[in-house]
Amino acid sequence: MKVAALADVLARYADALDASCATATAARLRAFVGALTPSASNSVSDFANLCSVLPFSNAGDQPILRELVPTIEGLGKLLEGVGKPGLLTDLELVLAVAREQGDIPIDGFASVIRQHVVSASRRQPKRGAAPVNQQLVNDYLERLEAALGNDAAFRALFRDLEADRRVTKIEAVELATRFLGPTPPSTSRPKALQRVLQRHQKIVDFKRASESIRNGRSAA
Amino acid sequence: MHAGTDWQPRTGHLSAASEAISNVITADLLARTNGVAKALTWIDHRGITRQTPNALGLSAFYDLKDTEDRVMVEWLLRDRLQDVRYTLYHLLRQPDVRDRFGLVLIDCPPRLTTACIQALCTSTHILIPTVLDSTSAKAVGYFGTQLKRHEDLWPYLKVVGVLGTMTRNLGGEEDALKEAGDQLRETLTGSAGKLNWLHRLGIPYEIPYNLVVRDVPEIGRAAARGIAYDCVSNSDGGDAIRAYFDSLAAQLDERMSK
Repeated sequence: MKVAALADVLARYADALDASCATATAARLRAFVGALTPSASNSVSDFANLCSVLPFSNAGDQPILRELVPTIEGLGKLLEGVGKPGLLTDLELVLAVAREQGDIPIDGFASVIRQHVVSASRRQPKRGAAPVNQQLVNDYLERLEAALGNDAAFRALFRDLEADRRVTKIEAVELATRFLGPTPPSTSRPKALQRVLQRHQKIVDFKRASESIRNGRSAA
Repeated sequence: MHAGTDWQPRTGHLSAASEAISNVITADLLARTNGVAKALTWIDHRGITRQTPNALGLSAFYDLKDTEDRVMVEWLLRDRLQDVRYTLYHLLRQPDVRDRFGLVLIDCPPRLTTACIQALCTSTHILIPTVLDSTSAKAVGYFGTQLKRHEDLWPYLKVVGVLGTMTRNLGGEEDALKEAGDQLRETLTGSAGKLNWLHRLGIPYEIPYNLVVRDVPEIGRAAARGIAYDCVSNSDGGDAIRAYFDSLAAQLDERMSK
């Protein structure tokens, strides 16, 4: 059974819960349906397999997946004997996911699934491509954040970054994404590094304009 | 009051916001049941009038601008003795008012008008909403400059964050949010008051991008009827809208409780 079909069943169940005034439970279930939507065209077993390997974070105090267990169990009991066997099997699979990832906030769970599906739909790197050197990126990220706004310190650090041969295109793109915002993987190394510099440059420009205003001169 | 109709002042009368900033409203009038603070009501699809629970509102209308100018001029000419910067502060700090209301939200323009100054002098926290483009991001920085320049007036005011609004998931929005946060940090660094308390705690000013207020047509359409949180039906995505605002409120509550 496709995820889309299961999502449809769960969404209808959420409507029924709403009609029975179980609005909080319905809202939690809908949030979970939101996690299913990005994988709509996959099978439920593929979705369950995916959930077992993705890195979820249990930070936050929002509703967690374990709170869905009684709701899905209830639906399973309702459909026992009347629902298609495939549907009952798939309900068991998502129930196992909800139990296994019980401490994960539902919204965070949905967000990780969405991000994974979006990144998986992008063009895959060539086989054998080197992984991002995360330690190197983390190190530069910390130093860049610390130097931000200090023109002399930032530019010195940026020169080091440009000259550092360990920083390849993929590290530069990762750094630009985490330091400023989403940067397409196809961005070249120089352009990705320019995005890094751009964040600092905007602060410098802003400071200059602010000082001009204070001194009564045109900011132009 | 229904949004769109009942909040307009009667002919010849001032809106409640004008009265509040010009020292017309007393604490008793504000705190009493059936006083100037009106229940926020809306009409559901069955035609039944419903009320937003646990919330009351004071309306503002176009007369507010005239009132702002008038009270400021009167004060400067010494025709008005009370310091107009603190009129709202004195009203909202009255014990009756504090007993009646747990939380007061004040919607302000991004300029230091008389009413905005009164709101800043009164408030404990300020949230700065912005459209996420580069021009608007710069305006956040300049607004921060104004906040800091006059911080003697609001030494206890804390900036609780910058919130992206009316976003459409376009490229560059996250960059603009970062830019707004950067400029605010740059501006507020060295504050003698508590404006940069968040930065001192190591928390970025930017409210995370996954919590920005999306440009959802249902919210805009609901504005003519009442509070979107309440009056958007489930079939129009009301649950998702409520879940979103609950998450945002949790984030703000967490920041404010630091």
